[in-house]
Amino acid sequence: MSVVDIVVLGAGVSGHTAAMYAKRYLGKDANITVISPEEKYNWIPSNIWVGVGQMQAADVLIPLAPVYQKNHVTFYQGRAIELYPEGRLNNSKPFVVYESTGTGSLGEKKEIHYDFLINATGPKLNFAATPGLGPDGFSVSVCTASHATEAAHQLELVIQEMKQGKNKTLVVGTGHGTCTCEGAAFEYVFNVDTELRRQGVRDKAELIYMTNEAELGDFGVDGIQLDVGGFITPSKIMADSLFFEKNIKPILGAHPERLEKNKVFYTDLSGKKGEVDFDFAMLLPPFKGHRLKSFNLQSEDITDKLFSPADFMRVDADYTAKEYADWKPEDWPRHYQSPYYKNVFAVGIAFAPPHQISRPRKNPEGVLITPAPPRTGMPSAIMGRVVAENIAQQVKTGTLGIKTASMGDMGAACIASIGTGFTRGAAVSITMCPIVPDYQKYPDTGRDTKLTFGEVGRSGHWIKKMLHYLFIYKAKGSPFWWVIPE
Amino acid sequence: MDNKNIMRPNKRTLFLRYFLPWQIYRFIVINIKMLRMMARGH
Ligand SMILES: Cc1cc2nc3c(=O)[nH]c(=O)nc-3n(C[C@H](O)[C@H](O)[C@H](O)COP(=O)(O)OP(=O)(O)OC[C@H]3O[C@@H](n4cnc5c(N)ncnc54)[C@H](O)[C@@H]3O)c2cc1C
Repeated sequence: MSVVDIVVLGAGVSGHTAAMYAKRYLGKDANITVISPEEKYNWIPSNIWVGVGQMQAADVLIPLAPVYQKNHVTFYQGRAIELYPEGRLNNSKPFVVYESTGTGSLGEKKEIHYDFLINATGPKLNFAATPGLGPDGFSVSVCTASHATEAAHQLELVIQEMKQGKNKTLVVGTGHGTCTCEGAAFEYVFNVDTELRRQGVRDKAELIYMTNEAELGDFGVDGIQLDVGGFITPSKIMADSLFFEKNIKPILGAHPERLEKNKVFYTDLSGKKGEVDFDFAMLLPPFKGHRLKSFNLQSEDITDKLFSPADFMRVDADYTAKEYADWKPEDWPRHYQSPYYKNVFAVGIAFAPPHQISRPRKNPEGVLITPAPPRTGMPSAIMGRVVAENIAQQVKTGTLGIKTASMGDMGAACIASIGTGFTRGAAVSITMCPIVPDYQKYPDTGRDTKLTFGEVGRSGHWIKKMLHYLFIYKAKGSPFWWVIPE
Repeated sequence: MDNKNIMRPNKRTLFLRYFLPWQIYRFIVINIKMLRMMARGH
């Protein structure tokens, strides 16, 4: 058996997992190469705590080079920019072109040939979708460790002013009608609340949650029917209760149209226009994919064939346009394999979802205000592992493995922190299964109520903290890392 | 928000959310629930 070349684009949750498992399954039978622009891995879920000053960036970042060196994985610090899935006329072995982002070789381009390619490039943070949004505009973000550090700094400045007796308005939420990651915005607003209380200034703050969800607790998954306290309870009821309890004012179904200094202008699902003056705003950007310019053997541009209009890579999903009532779990991909090139895969946020999970809604002006489907850490990592396993099977037996990781089958655990600290910390612990509701199998609730539950408590915070340390241990490739489930 | 339409935690629930022995028990229960869910999804 000749040694195969497996190239992974992106060292985030899904790509790093895929690379580490591919090496584990194939050992010396495969050269694993990872191309990723940052020199450090970011455990993104804990950015929330960095964003309120309860952790430092260094707590959520791991240098990648030593991890890969130890595990015999080649690492190039760079950004993939072009894809040649049929190779060139003089060498038909497929390859990607990347541009170095490493010091010393910045901007240099290099071709890397592959037998299998795993695209795990995650989201492009599309701040440009809303004028004035983001760290280059008038709001902060917690999507990267450096963004979160800046958010903590801005928050602290506002808190200092509150300590001098000034009243302040803080807005947290989604910065566009089509954002995803409502769970992250939810966590951040509650962590800000806890931080304001910890610093004794909560009474000086008006805390506003601006979200594209039509109702609280939608989380981009069309809400969840939770088995709690002897009732099947909509997540809306649980979320409404928490927001009320903590005195956080929601603005629902909101699409921020633009930001100016200390002001956000928005429209909502009813078509009403509004504006909010703020002293601090953390609004998440909508996501796009990372489009790689792609060419066939004849050097024709095939980018539009491989990537969706939102720049995510098409895989084995059913992309036929359908009404909400006709959406099915089977629309969702199972193997994450490109329909055009059998040795190309896209996992995590990089794959093109067939449609939203939440009911699509437009306002009277036709503006789409609906959460995009979340692809959170756990399913992203499972996709990475399953694709690595299937490729390993093909390398060993000649037939691609048949393991699946469909969001229509698998569940997700979501531990949404609502404050940190051993005594003050708490979290909303939610599990749901499956992620995409299946009304054929579960006509009443769309999900298996035995596996779908939620509760609030201090134990959730301990779990979140435990997961932080476990996943950082795992990402470092420390002894027996594979024992820790995704 | 009008509190008449909102479910609110009573004193017992608020107490249990932070009560150490109960939370240690819930920590175990939630972990088991997550593992069950993973076993089904993996
Ligand atoms: C603030 C926040 C909090 C969150 N909290 C949670 C949580 O509590 N629980 C949970 O389950 N999920 C959470 N998520 C979601 C979770 O972070 C994502 O699901 C997960 O990171 C997706 O993994 P990924 O591999 O697709 O993308 P990423 O982890 O973003 O990785 C993508 C990688 O690709 C690299 N890359 C980008 N462009 C290129 C290119 N051209 N070439 C090569 N590499 C490239 C990037 O630098 C990055 O390293 C949160 C997300 C955010 C933003």
